[in-house]
Amino acid sequence: MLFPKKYQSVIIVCLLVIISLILLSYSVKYPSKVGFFRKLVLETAAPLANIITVSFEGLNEVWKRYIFLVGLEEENRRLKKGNALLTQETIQYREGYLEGIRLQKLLALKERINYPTIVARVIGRDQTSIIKTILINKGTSHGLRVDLPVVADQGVVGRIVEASSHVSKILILIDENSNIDALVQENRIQGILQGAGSLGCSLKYVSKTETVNVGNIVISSGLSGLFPKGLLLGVVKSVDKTDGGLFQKIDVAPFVDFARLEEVMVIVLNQDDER
Amino acid sequence: MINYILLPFFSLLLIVFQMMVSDIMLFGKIGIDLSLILVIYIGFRLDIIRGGILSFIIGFIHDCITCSISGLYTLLYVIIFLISMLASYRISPGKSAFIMIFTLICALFEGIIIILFYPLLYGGGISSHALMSYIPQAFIVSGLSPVFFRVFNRIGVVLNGRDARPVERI
Repeated sequence: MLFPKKYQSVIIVCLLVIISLILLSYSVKYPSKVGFFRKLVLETAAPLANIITVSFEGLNEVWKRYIFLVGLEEENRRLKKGNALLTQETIQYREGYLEGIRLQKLLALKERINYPTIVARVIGRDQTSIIKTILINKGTSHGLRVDLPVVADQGVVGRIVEASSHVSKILILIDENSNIDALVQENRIQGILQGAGSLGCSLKYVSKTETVNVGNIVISSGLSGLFPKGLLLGVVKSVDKTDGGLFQKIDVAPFVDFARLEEVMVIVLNQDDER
Repeated sequence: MINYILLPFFSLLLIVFQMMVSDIMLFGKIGIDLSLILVIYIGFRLDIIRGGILSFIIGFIHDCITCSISGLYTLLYVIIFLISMLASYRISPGKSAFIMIFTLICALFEGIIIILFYPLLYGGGISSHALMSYIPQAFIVSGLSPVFFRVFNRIGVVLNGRDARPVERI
């Protein structure tokens, strides 16, 4: 042995430190010179680095995808919520728009009628029972009373049969208890328009000698005093003279679609007008 | 003999791994010097000849991969190995708190030496960002050290077939 055994370790450590210092000094002095061992280490490290990078990138990709999916779920939930809100908003706007159109029509009607009117909203309808009625959100506190005529933009709806403080019940045109004095617009033939339930209405007491054609318009005559003259009631859909008797059987389809009625207008006639 | 073949390879793998972790996961903002923990571990567990040579090799590999100048980490790791070995005579590395404090001191020492040597080696001043990054790096390495001590111990058991206890000293 070159050195005594008890100094061997110290000498080796000193050697390592000295080699390190020489290596450092040499490297500082000649930075561009790349030694064999340095090249060897770099060549060995390159494939290892490549494997680790690929593995990390794979993991990173999986992680990002997971995060993306988590984010996607969150985003999906947020978008669904937003979509529901927007749909609701759109429906509200559409409702407002349609209500505006309906009210515009009522307003146009109001301008044609020379009486004070009150617009009311339909809050209930009962068209399945024998008595066909609808409820509106205005009553005596708004100036309404029994027997006032109710119209829509298409024509006559009916008349008030019951009025409480804030709600009124309207007997609609097609109810079998409804009778309105009517005229056939084209030839001024008079009759009584009676409700016929789901069939619509029928124009009664028109003599077989009179000529009524399908498609003729039926309007209120104004004779009973309940309905002002000239309000649209319906259109003649069939005429039957074969039935044995003095009068024709005339079926009339009302202009108003009672199932889709949302706003109505009550014509506030004073007692003198009604008479 | 197997230690002199496998451990340098393992060291190389560790350095590449720490470099990739720093680059990919921490976007190169903070380096995690796991090789420093290995050198400290070697200082506590191996004899002066094996430990010294391994520290030298680890330092050299570190220099080759991360530095443009060879010898800086080689010298640093040999010195840290010697400090660790001297510390191991006085204190047992059984407690995590001790390992953490000792690693923190070594990491700060490493940082100070690099900062001091940097102008001499590279001829320019070190950036304030690099300067400030050494402190969190030292704390991170310190925090990770007990875990990695256990990992290295397990690897030592696998390589030697027994627990790598301190062997005969000088």
